Amino acid sequence: MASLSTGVASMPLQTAVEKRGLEALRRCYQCRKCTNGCPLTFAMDLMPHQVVRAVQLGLDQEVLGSKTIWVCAACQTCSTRCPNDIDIAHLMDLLRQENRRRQVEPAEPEVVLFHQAFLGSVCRHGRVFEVGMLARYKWAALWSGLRKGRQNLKQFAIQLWQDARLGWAMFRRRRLRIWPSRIHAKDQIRRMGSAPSENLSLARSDAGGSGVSEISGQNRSTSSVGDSLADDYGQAGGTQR
Amino acid sequence: MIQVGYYPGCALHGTAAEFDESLRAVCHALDIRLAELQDWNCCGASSAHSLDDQLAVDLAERNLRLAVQTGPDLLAPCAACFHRLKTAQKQRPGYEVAIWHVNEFFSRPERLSQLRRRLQRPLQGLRAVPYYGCLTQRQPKITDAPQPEWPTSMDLLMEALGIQVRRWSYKTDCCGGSLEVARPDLVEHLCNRLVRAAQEADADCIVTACPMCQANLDISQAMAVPMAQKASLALQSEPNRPEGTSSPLPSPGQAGLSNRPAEGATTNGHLPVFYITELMALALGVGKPARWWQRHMIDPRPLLAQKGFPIE
Ligand code: SF4
Ligand code: SF4
Ligand code: SF4
Repeated sequence: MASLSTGVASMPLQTAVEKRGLEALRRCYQCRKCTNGCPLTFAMDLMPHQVVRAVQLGLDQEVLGSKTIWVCAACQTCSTRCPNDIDIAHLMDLLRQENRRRQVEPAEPEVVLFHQAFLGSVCRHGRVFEVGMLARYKWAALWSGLRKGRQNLKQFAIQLWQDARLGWAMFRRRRLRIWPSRIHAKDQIRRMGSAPSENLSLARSDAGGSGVSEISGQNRSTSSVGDSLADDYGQAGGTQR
Repeated sequence: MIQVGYYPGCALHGTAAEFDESLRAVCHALDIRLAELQDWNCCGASSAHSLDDQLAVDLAERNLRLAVQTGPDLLAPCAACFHRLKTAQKQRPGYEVAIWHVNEFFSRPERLSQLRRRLQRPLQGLRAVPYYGCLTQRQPKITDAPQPEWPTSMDLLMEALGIQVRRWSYKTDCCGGSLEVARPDLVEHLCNRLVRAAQEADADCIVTACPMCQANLDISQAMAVPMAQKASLALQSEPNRPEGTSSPLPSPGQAGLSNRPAEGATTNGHLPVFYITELMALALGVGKPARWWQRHMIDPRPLLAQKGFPIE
């Protein structure tokens, strides 16, 4: 894994998140208030208080490979209630970003693909165009599910049917906009973010056409946004579990 | 006539157009001029802050710059946009603009009395639960919400409209937000719990002020995830639960022990999910409500007709 030898990636996870404003992490006394208020614990493999502890203990791979960081809905209940003022919701954000930066295979690839499709749409138009974004996401998710064996053809077909049903129901009610709403200053948007503009590789590859290019890794970059899943599969794939 | 900067956000330009239209109608009736920010861009929502902290703040900050040029007040009806704009304002100080959410904006005493004066058709007989969701309230450090665990602004608004506000303890519980696309099974689980709680509170509809809350509650009632997927979800979730972390919010009607989706969790009798502004417009007798009702997944017209309100 080439990426793990670079400076930022080899830094212990605790140091990385502390550098980005989560020094408070050290104050956690495992009261579990975060976990008890979290609405998504039923779908998590590590409870929020365990995530905090695992980061402190240096269990970086366990944390970055967890479902928890992706099924967290960012509802901010934990951060609101923590008696030690630890922003656990922000910790989850930083862990998602570290997962991408270090190219650890995400336990919930669909969630990553969704976020990428969403930001791709933002970078292309300056605003989200739901129909385009959903189509791209769906295609990428179905394709990656098939390829990784997470889905067989029958499930694929059921999914497609479900989506078509919902799509039609929404279309019929005129809930979907047919044309994107675009802004003028798109170039301003493309310059944003933590990495150089190739960063927003979703937007760039999309402008070129097929949705498959989003996950086929044509636009390698060191960015956090643009890392394509194919890179994870190609390089780090299989090493995590 | 007062002027307020307006940041509609992507949802109100697309899937939640009825929120936008009803808000405009209400503002028009109350002599408020909405000045839409010129060339506003997407706030990045949960995807930006999930993948790139800096991009998330950059996207929101550009809108703050536009807002400062537009005036001292900014109305951001979408809860996620509101949260992102407030976050950017806290992280990059210097943008002097008051960012408002719909509930807070309209529930100030002078607005409430203005609303009461203009009321054409009090919504007597409608029993509803107010559903605030997450991002207008939490975390208070960002949102400046005075009572993040028990907000009352929408309650006040609903009472002013003549609605019978039903008490329930799920005002600020999460609907799952943007997980709807990638993990609809999780959102369905959360929303089923909310809908059941609303039914137990003897409400005949749910009132929201967030496009994601509305869509999730509306869609999850209309579309059910196949049972097979549900079963696998239940299997995955249980063995990993450490001791002492039982469900924080046991589903009503269950013994309060299990967090797994109950069998037959789908509700008998669906509850329409309104935007607060739709009901305000209905009570003020403005706008084109018939167009909005068509867009709901759970059709509110039978309920409205039953309560004696015009639906055309
Ligand atoms: S609420 Fe705060 S102190 Fe308590 S376990 Fe969670 S992170 Fe630690
Ligand atoms: S922000 Fe995430 S971890 Fe915190 S309570 Fe909400 S879902 Fe749970
Ligand atoms: S309740 Fe759902 S949509 Fe509404 S603010 Fe919370 S996560 Fe967002």
